[in-house]
Amino acid sequence: MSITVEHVSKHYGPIIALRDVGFTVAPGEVRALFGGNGSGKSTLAKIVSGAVRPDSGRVSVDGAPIPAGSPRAAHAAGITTTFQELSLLPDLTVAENLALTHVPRVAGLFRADKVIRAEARAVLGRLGLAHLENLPVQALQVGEKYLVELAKALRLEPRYLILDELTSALHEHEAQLVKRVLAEHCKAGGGAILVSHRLGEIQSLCDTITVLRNGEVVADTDVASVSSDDLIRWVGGGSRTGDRGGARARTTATKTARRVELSNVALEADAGEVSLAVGKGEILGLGGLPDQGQAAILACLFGLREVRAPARLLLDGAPVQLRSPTDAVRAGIAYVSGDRDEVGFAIRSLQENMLALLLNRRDPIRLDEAQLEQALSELSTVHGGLTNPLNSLSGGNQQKVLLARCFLLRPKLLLAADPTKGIDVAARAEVHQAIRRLAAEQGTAVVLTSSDDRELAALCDRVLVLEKRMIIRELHAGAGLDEQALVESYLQAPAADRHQVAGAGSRP
Amino acid sequence: MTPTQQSASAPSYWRSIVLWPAFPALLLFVIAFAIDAALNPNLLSVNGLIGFGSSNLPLVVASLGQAILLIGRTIDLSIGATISLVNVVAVSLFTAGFGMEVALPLATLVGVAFGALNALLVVYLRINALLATFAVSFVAGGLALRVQSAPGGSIPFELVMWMMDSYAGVPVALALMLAAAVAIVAIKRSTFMLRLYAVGGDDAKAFASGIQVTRVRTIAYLLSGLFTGLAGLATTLAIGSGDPLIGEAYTLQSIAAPVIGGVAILGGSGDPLGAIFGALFLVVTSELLLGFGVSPFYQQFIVGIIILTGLGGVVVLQRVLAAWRARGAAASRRRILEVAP
Amino acid sequence: MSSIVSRAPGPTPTRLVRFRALVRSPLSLPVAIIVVLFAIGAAVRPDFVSMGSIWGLLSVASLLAVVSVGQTIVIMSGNQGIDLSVGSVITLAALVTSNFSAGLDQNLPLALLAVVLVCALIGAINFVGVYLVGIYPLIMTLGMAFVLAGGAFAFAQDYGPTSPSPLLLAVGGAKLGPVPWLVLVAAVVFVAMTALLQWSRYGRQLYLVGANPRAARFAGIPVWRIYLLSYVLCSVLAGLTGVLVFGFAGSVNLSIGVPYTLMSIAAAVIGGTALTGGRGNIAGPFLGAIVFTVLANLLIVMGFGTADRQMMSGIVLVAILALTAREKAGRI
Repeated sequence: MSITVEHVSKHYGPIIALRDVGFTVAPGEVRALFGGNGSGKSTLAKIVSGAVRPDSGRVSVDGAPIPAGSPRAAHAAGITTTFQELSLLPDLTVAENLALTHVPRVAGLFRADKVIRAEARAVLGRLGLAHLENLPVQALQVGEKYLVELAKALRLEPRYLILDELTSALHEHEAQLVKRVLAEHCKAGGGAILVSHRLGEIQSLCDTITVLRNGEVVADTDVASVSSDDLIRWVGGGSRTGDRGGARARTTATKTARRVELSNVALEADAGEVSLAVGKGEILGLGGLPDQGQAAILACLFGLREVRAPARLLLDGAPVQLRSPTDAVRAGIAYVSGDRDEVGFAIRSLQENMLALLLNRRDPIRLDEAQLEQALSELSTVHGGLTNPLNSLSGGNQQKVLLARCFLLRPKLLLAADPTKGIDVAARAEVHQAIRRLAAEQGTAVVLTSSDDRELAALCDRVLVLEKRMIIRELHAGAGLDEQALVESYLQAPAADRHQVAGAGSRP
Repeated sequence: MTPTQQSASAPSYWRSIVLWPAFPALLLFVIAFAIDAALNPNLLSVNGLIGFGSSNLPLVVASLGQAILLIGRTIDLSIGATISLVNVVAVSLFTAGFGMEVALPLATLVGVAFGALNALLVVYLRINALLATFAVSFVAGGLALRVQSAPGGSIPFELVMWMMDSYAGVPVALALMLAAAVAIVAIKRSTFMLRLYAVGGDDAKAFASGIQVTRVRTIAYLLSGLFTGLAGLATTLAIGSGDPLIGEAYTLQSIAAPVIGGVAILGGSGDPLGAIFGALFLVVTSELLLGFGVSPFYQQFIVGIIILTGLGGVVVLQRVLAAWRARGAAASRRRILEVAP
Repeated sequence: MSSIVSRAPGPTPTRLVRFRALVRSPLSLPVAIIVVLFAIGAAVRPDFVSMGSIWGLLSVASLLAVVSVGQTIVIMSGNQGIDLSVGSVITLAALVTSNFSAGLDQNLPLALLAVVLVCALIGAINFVGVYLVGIYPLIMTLGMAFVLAGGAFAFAQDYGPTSPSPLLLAVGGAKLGPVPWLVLVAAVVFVAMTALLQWSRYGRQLYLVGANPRAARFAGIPVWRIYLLSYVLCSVLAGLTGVLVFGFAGSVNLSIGVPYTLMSIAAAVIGGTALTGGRGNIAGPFLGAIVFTVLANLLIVMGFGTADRQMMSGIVLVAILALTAREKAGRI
């Protein structure tokens, strides 16, 4: 009664999330899916759970393939899942949420409310949470929500449990509960798939491990027979280049002036304060696992999030109040994102896209076609004419157009959220070159987030690694900044070792 | 207040009543009714209640159907036109000599048929619900005009008399309203309803929980179509004749009533019973205006303003509440099927 | 599109290429439909295509065209923008004109001013409901339609009916040479609106806001201003239509504006305005208005009654929606 995953591939547009991936899980086995950012481990788990339909490949239980793309079918085959994003409806009670997967009936059409609540109490009781049964989910703490998500998966008495980053949001004692439940489950003959980036947990809970990197399986082995170093090396690509091999023609002495300073900002209620500074012409990266506060920092710098006293935002030494992106653009801050839905006007022409940032200034900048063409060719953009719509270009070229228009603004600060998401290697290199040129020639400060650690390592002068809305590490180019180091930061960072970095603009 | 909480008795009795989403509408209705009764003591007599019941029944029933759709995060703008169509179809069937055992069910089926049409367009063809049902309203309206181009016709007198009757002091119309309430309470206790709340709240999460979203929404449209058909029957019995334009005002009011009654316009929460109080409040308010001496010519204007203000107020309130809740939620809010590559 | 092949500007496109571009243009659909309808009309009744008949059709189409342009602008602004109150605004505007001008030419400027102010206010309230309060445009404007219909009803009780002033009657019915004044007024609107969309800052920002409101916001565009202007412009154009309708019809009744609501949406959509926003032009609704006027006329000539014509409008709109407004599958 094993699960067999064979030849699974999945792409989203030009990005290949998974390429010909496979593994098996036997009864009683706990398999880890381990990897860094963008490795595809979560996508893979979702495919096995039925929430995502693969492009090719199949998932079978005991040799019988499960219809793809149907969580219902997965449930019928004995597979249940806890989702990283939680599949709980906030307006319903815990008991009701638990019942959704298979609603107990009375007289055919009606809910057996008593049974619903009794079942809920029973399964919650295994986690010591029976008292939560009648509360609406939105009233629960974060940790409790994840445990309820686990209870929901357990209720159907599955043969296989998929836990997607379940313990990331749990306190230690809650994680112990999960450990106990998992042990009971395996003892009764069940199997499990654990998606996690926490090495310690994997080593204590799992029997086997599949290591993924960039959508491919790089290792499939027993947990007991490999060391932490091996695992981290597989995830990070292994290279330990203390300095970059690529050419970076710039001097380091120029960045003494601070362009942007953000100080004493609490990125979340009850979180600690964060401060950072970026120098003129400096490229600062924000790394770490996704959703650790990187977007919040960008939001503060772009007027999407209020920076209120005692926090301060300084631009070229002067305090600024950004109440909206309009203020930010007027102050000379440009924003570009790899999510083209966020910043691009897909159905409008290249010309309109490029002029969009310049339209709303008090003194609108007027540019003629030749100047626009010039800006585009500086990025080697391939296009069929300025009047064509943006979405007639390939993804990489669309990004270049959106970046080119930022350059036309001659911004003091460029905010780039995952700017090369989903574009091919050649275009990516051209974009990197353009960003470096912007920083070097115009003295633009750049703050960059990326889900690709290699990119951060290759492009940035400095990277701040974030975890839970705090800066936990700072790495400098030429002094230990590489993909391996970044991966280590967020895979191994012990919970106790947290400190603020009062970001200086530069260090020798 | 969630479906199972509504059916169980909660520990703190008074607290659970005040937190009941339908409570504000209930309060508004009771206050308006009290004022109306004070100004117009006749209202509380049997005849007064008969009039009250029969003129309100259609909107109450129509609002219940719309409430079901709103909870499922969808909508039907063709309810008014379909009510007109059911009305003229019933009258035509009677005029053609059919008895009420044939005419009444067939007319109701018309409502269900349009529910099915809406389901086809919105759930299967995935056309935007607002636009699709808006277009369907013209099909239904045109069809109604075709069946009967001007007000007229009649239904068997016994039926009209029955609607105007009362048993042991209880008007038939009020009894029917009570029956509608009982029906919706029964529906609320179904497995379908729980799934509908899930689908309306977040259909991606509902899907991840193994719910067949298309099936649930289709049933919602069919049920709503049934209620629309019954509302058409209620109209027919109330006016005793046919009018191809009778249903026009119902569309907007059938949306306003549940929303005022606490059903979230974006779905996933609220109690359909609130639609009843919302509908009653709207009708009583119009009558109140007459009672205050407001010219009947201004009635629609003022009712319209009340509706817009009511809708606006509730929408703002819901947004404030949602923002307040969201601020407390620290867990990841990404949609479940959005995967960072 | 391959990133290897670059298409440098080459020699002048051949006739075939230009023809293909013309055929693919979104305006080719309404033009083709108009041709087909005229062909059917001519077959049913030869004088369907006489000059007199065509000018008559264009006059009526002009009325629909002006309000359809307003509807197009609101739809183009995106965010599921639509205005269901235009029919009621037309009725109200006709009533206001009737009341303020009382049949005298010298009162016309005052009447027009009143119409513009009232309509601007209505548009502003629609904007407030949609953007500040957060009610879906379709529901907000539906409610506004209800309120205005009631308002018109109340308003109409207070005064006796009047006829349009001589100037207004002339605009509504007379011609300048062979061309009806209505068509000339519509032409002026066409030119003015086209200039607005192509050359003004509002116009350029409108396309961007409609195409992607979030991106527009991130580009620093004050999105709210665009929405406000769009709803106001739509109501004002509907008001202008109401004034013209009064001159054309010679009298006012409470349901005079009713057919315009659905027709303006249909005209906008068949003219190539995307219901999702960010795409459209002024020629589209003009052609769309002609399509539906010719269609309505054809149906009348063929003997269909009001009921059938209404049903058919509904069916046609459903068909258009099924082809253009289907939402993405979303999941997986």
